[in-house]
Amino acid sequence: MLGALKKVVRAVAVLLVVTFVSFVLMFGNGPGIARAVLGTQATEADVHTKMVQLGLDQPLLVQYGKWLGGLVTGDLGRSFFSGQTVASALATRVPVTLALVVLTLVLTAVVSVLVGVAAAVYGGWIDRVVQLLAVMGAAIPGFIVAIVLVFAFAIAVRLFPATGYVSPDQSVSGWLASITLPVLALLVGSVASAAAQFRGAVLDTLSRDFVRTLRARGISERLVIFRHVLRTAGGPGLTVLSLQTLALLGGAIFIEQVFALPGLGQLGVASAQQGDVPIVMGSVLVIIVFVLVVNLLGDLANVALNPKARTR
Amino acid sequence: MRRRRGALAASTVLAAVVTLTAMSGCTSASTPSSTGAAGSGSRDTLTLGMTADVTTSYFETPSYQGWVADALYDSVLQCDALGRPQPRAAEKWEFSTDNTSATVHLRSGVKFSDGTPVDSAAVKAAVGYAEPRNARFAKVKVDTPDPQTAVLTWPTPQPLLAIKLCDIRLTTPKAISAANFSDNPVGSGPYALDPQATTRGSVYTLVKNESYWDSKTYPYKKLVLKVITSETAALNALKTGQIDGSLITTATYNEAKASGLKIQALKGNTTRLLVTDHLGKKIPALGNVDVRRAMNMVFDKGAMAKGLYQGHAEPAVQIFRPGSSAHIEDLQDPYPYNVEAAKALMAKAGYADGFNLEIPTMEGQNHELLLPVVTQQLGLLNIKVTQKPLSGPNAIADLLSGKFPVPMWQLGNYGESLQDIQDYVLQDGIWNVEHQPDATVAKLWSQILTGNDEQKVAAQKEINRYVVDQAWFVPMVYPEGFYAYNAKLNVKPSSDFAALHPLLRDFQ
Amino acid sequence: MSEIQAESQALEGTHFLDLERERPTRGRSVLRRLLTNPQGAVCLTFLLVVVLVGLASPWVAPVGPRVTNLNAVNAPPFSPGHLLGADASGRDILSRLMWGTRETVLACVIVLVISVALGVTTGLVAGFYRGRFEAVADFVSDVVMSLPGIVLLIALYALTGPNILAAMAVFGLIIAPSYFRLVRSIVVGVRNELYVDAAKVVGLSDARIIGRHVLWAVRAPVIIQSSFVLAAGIGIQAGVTFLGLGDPAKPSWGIVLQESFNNIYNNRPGVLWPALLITLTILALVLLGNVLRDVLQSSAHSSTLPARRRRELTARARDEALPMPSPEVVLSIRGLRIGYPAGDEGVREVVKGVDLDVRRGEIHGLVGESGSGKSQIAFSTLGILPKEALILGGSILLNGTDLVASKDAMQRARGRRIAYVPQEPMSNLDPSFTIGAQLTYGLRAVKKVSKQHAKRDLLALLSRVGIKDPERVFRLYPHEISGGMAQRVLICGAVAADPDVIVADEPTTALDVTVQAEVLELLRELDEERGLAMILVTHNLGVVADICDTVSVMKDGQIVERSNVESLFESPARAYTQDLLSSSRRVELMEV
Repeated sequence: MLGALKKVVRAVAVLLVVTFVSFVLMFGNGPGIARAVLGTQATEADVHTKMVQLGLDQPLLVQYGKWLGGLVTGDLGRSFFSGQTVASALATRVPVTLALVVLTLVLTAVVSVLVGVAAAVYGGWIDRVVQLLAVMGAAIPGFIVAIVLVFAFAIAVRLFPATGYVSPDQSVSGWLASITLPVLALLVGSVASAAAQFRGAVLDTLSRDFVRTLRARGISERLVIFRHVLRTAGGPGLTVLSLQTLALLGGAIFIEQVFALPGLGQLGVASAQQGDVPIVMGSVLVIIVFVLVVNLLGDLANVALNPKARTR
Repeated sequence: MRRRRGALAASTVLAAVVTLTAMSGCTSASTPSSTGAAGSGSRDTLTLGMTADVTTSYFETPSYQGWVADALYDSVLQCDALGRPQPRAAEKWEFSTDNTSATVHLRSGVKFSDGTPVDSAAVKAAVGYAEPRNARFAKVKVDTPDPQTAVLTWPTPQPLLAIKLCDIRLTTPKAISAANFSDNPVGSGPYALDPQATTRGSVYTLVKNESYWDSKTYPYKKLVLKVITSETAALNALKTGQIDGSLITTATYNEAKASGLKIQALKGNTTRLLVTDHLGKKIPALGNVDVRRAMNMVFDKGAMAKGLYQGHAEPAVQIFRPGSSAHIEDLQDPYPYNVEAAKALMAKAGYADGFNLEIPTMEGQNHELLLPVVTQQLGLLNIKVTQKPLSGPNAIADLLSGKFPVPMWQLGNYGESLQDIQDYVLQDGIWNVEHQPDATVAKLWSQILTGNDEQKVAAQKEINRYVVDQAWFVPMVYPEGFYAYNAKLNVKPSSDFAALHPLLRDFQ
Repeated sequence: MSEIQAESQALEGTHFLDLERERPTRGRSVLRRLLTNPQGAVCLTFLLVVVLVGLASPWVAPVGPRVTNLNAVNAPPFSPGHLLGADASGRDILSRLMWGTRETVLACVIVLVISVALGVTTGLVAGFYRGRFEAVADFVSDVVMSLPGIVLLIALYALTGPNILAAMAVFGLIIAPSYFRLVRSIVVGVRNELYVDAAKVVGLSDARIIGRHVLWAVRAPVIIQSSFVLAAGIGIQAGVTFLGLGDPAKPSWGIVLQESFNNIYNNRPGVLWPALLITLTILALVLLGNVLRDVLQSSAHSSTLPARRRRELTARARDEALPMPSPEVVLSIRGLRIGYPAGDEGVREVVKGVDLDVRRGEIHGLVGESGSGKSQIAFSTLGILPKEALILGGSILLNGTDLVASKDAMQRARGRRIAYVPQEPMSNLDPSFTIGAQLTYGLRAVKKVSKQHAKRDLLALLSRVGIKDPERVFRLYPHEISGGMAQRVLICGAVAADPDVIVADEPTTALDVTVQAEVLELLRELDEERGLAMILVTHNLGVVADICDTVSVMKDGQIVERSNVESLFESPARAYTQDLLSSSRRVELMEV
């Protein structure tokens, strides 16, 4: 119980530190921000008025405090340019990115477990092929895979639209069609990395004493692997998956650009270029929260899988 | 992807940045007005793609891809492709003989969507909002003798009175004083926002306002505007019928044509260098007319049109739009492509060693295409061009601040060339970033202000000749803009004064 | 690849213990070995070519990066003057890529220098001094690693604008924690080594110790990690410029890729070249990292023979026909030879022809020093030798059936007729399942009984082996019971299926002295009760004296003396046995 509490406290600490640093980076240039909003004809007096209006004239710490306070009530401020609330801007984008990441994660888990176990257990040429593919898949940047896919489907084979997004409430089949290539692009790198690590975890477990003893008991190899080895390798496996989530979030930003998906990453890039600071801040926040939640879930699942962790 | 913040005609965006803040005045049309009958051939839904999102409030949206604002709000007047006024919220209007004031007579019985009447108080509020924010309305006064009449008076004569009135969007005085335009737009335009089906940054849904005074011009019952910033994605959406129309560029032109889409070509831009430091205050060399002329002579305009724009451009010798008043027909290029002669001119001016030049660039402005050529060609004259990418909060401010005496842009040219003159040539023109005085221009301008129509045209052409002779600009090409649409759609030629794209009323 | 992948790439395959276990690179130098490895040679050559050609662009590139030729707009590959074609502005793609290499190299150098400088120094200090500094550094490193780097870079863009060098410096900061963790864990392991203590005693300053000795220990992992970090740096730089957050004026691989992608309809092949260049360079760095790891840090991967060779060697074993032993001999080993791969396709024998008979009710001790091969024999009877092991000859007869000749027979016998009692009780229990669950799985794997029946039997057996509260223990996890109890559980598991033979591999070595006696007593009782044949592998002659009936002494893979217990202790025949006895007596005296 105490352990869980400690983890939550730590997560909150991370959240505070990262958001504070980002806040300082972005809101530091108060006059510049005001000027961007007002446009070219702004005089110094105008700039000052705008700064007061947007609350930019106050010391950074106070601004940050206000922002935190707003966080609790769900008020993340408003876009400097359009006046739209940050929360509503994020609300439409988050499901897109979330769907992308979660789908990829699930598929990654399934595929990499199968592939990793096969490589670890059978060894031989299967293992070598898996290792080679893992290296290649992990090395090729996600956006290049995405470009190759777009090329193949936009130019070579006109199977279905290569880029663009159809939301599921419009048409489920359209949504699936528009999300297939992006998921695929993310999946390549993700599976490559996760399968290699999972293979390592399985190999590690296979070399442990109790596996030999289980075999000596007469338990069939199939049961030894799927019931016992996977259970023990599951802990490190979950760690692998939560690390992968982190990588997926970063990769999703590129994928959204290439496939023109209206997700969180694309919002972040566009508003960073525009200088719409509250929205960038909001995007950063959502991403951190997501990462922390995933880590927490991973820890909890780890406890469920590993009896030793419970008593600590 | 390059068109992410989409702007083939960035100038219009920027000119409209100035314009955008003005224009209030919502005339809600809830009371039965003249047109009760359904429009001719009412159709269901028109779905269009926008390559840039509405990043400002609805009220302050620039006119470039400003279909949302166009749908929500009525303006006092509307301007046709040549900038001539047509009735809109106002049925009748008069201009004073000295062009300092305009009197507009609003339709009666028209209301905003919240029930407030569209009256002269709304006009006054709108202009009041624009006055401190928009140079075009500086120091203007509004009198409201009666609810249907408003008199706007400028301190100095204004040759572009009509166009200014087209820019005044109307909303309720209450909304203006609250300065909260985003969440619930209150307008009197042909459509009303459907907030349930709208998500900012993604899709805007508008429902037809049946009691709009001119509802028959807008046959579609529902208007959906989707934000698709990537050009390839927009093309795909067009091909699969997800949208009915979108702006495209030469990057996808051939592909669009091959897919059976119809394409409307729009000529509303001049690609040019603006050499605004003609007195040589910042860069002494630029004060010498031979230097400026030499800069004109190193560009092979024909090759640029053919190569960079795939033939979708015409070489340009003057900045004004063909067909506009200031445009001089069949003007011979006084600066034909001749690098050697250009070098000789530079030597004669004493600047054989050239000078340094910083050119600002911004994302989405096609600079990636143009700058390599520009840099290379100017480099032949030993003019060392360095790029200065502008981004973030200060980009626009920096661009127009005068820090960079020679911006390069694909700027709009207008059907009414007075607008060009005002923005690019006059001392206080927004794009004349160094804002240097010139006696000849001032003299000709006063002729325009006070003269009759014939004199106006003559003076405009004179100004054109002057700036060409003085090489205030390095015009390169008139690039075409493209609007691709579903072949089943009936889209009339664009009635946009800035010739950026078809306007809502052009979709039939 | 992301920075996460860079870190995991470096750690994957490097089991934590391996970090300290470096095979000293005697003989040929590292560079030589790198170059003779074909993969290493290819990667290194490729990288050198790319970098050198890039740096030599001013002299080697066809044209400058900004030179435009309006007649060559969108020229396809292999056009005259444009080997890879030209882009939408008429610029030569090959030249731009070559010139862009300089940007890429510069960016990578920045990332590397900053991350190594920061990560390695903090890791050294934190690992050496530990304490509060380490705690703080740990937290910071956690925070930094808990965000995708690209997000921070985007936030940074809002502040600095398109300054790719600043972005790369920040990326260096983001990736520094991967070095920090790597170096810290090594230093922690190494700081307790004797040579560090010796250095301290001699009076060397801390800085000197860290700078020379400790730093020396981390150089290999840092070099390996750097290869992956460079790969990540290239990926991130290309990615950031591709997103449009870079300086559009400078040619770089990412910008060329972005431009080609935007222009894809007008010039299809244009995308290929930058994509290939980026991909191949990253790949080369990653593969180079793998080769470096193999060369600098051979971990405990034992080589395996190709399948063909295995079949050759083991065929002989299966075809041999040997004489049948007498009927009361339950387990009979004849001429057993076991080997392991060594060097190139060679084999090293660890058991060189062993004969052994065990009768019903007999406890047969197998004694010898470590490495004499006794455990190998034990494993071979159960068929649980490691994967690389080869049975080169001989047979193992269980009541007449040769287990070596038939895999099926071995499978059927394992657990049911021959059971295993392992040495280290805690590590031989599955940590994820309760005691009861494990025992039940084991029993039901070899006997067709219902769960309830099995539970009943097991509870009774647990009680028999001396566990006080079998019901409670049934529900416990292995980490919740003591070593002695665990060993009893293991014995219970072995005996539950009612086997004929028990193979016990040093069953008491890992136990407390007091518990040892109890467990041995238990084994003897069970043996008498059930008439088991038992092989007891041990290096402890005291155990032999305690419960064994017969003894075989092993040395270097062969049995040098075999007799019953009394004879052995009274009059050992061989000199080796005499040595063993005398040394062990001394030890026993010392233990008292």
